[in-house]
Amino acid sequence: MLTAGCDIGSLSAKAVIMEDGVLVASHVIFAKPEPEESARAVMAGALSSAGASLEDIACCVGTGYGRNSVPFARAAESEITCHGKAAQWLNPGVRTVIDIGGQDAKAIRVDPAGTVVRYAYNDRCASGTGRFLEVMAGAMGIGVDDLGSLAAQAQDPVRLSNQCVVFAETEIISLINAGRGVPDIVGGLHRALAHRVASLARSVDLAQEVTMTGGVAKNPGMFQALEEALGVKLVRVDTDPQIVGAVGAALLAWQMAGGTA
Amino acid sequence: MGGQDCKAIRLDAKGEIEKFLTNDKCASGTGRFLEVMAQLLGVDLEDLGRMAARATAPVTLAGACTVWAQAEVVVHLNAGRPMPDLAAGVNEAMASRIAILARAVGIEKDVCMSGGVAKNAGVVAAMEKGLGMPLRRLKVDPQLMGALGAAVIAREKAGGNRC
Repeated sequence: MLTAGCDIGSLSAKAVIMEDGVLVASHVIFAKPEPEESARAVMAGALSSAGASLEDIACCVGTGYGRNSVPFARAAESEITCHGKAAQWLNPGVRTVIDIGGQDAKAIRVDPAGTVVRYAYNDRCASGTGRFLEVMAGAMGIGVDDLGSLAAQAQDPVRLSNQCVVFAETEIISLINAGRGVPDIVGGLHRALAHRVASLARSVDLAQEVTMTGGVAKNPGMFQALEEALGVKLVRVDTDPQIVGAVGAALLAWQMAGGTA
Repeated sequence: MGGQDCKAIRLDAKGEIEKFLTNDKCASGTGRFLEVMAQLLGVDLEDLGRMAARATAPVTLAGACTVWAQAEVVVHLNAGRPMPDLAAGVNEAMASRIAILARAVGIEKDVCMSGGVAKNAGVVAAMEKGLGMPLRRLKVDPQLMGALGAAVIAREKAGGNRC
């Protein structure tokens, strides 16, 4: 039985197709102006790589901020439920999921069945979300994908005195003018973000094992910085961390259609 | 209200400070918020205040964070909302942030606004609307208030004579 999950985020849209709880295809695109348009386009991509059509999908669940705009979904679930479900399913020992997206960050505690028992959430302040790194990369004229390798070259990461994205942007420009190297600045930025996210994670009581999901988890620099900030080893998800929400949606769809996830 | 911070100060009848709060951690609610928005809209800071007077239906900015508010303004801009409505929405968002700070120190009349941002008529009007009371206008340039206070203290230290 084929089921699908469609995660319509603020910056990207993700779709996965699973066959009886096994991942068969996934697709990621940049979000389009209309969430419904994103949903159709990303699902078409996933279906084509699975060699299937929409009629073959027994059940689809939508998630993400545009979850109510997925026209072919049977239900909409919060991304917190989906990330918790999928992270625990991918790594059964996981009890805490840290999800850093482009516009928010979440810390989710799950029980052994993958059910959410507690969560904390920041979408009020851009600092503490993926947007922080994005803005800073923009200010330095470097690509987001290069951040991780630059952070790895840091020898003496800078300590930022500002938390606010707007103030920190000015601060790093001064640091560049003062002759600080880009790797040290990038290293400092990762530490700053990790520090913010770590406070969020501690507020849900950091039960091990801990995993990291969401687009920012693709950045190896962030992975390491968060391990340092939390003082624990993070468990890696054995798939693209950006599609974890969609995987959770597809697992819930499988349950809804009578499968045993 | 300055370019990088914002303070709410409550005074007794003699001008002694009873309570105060500062925000210098978050750009929202400081002059920087207005600077960022003016730049985004491609207008001067002074125009932001002037244009707001012609607003008919100010836009609502839901997010407090400057970064998110920028994204919201872009959406309104792309939707073709007129500039005066955008400017007024920016001023109102700014005023609502500062009103929170002001209420936290306990508002007692008369209230006045000092600092460079107080030169922006749009923010002053939005503050009056937000606080539900008129603000007392200053007889001097609001930006000079800090220096003026320093000079008054200098005179006191000098025993009213030459420093």
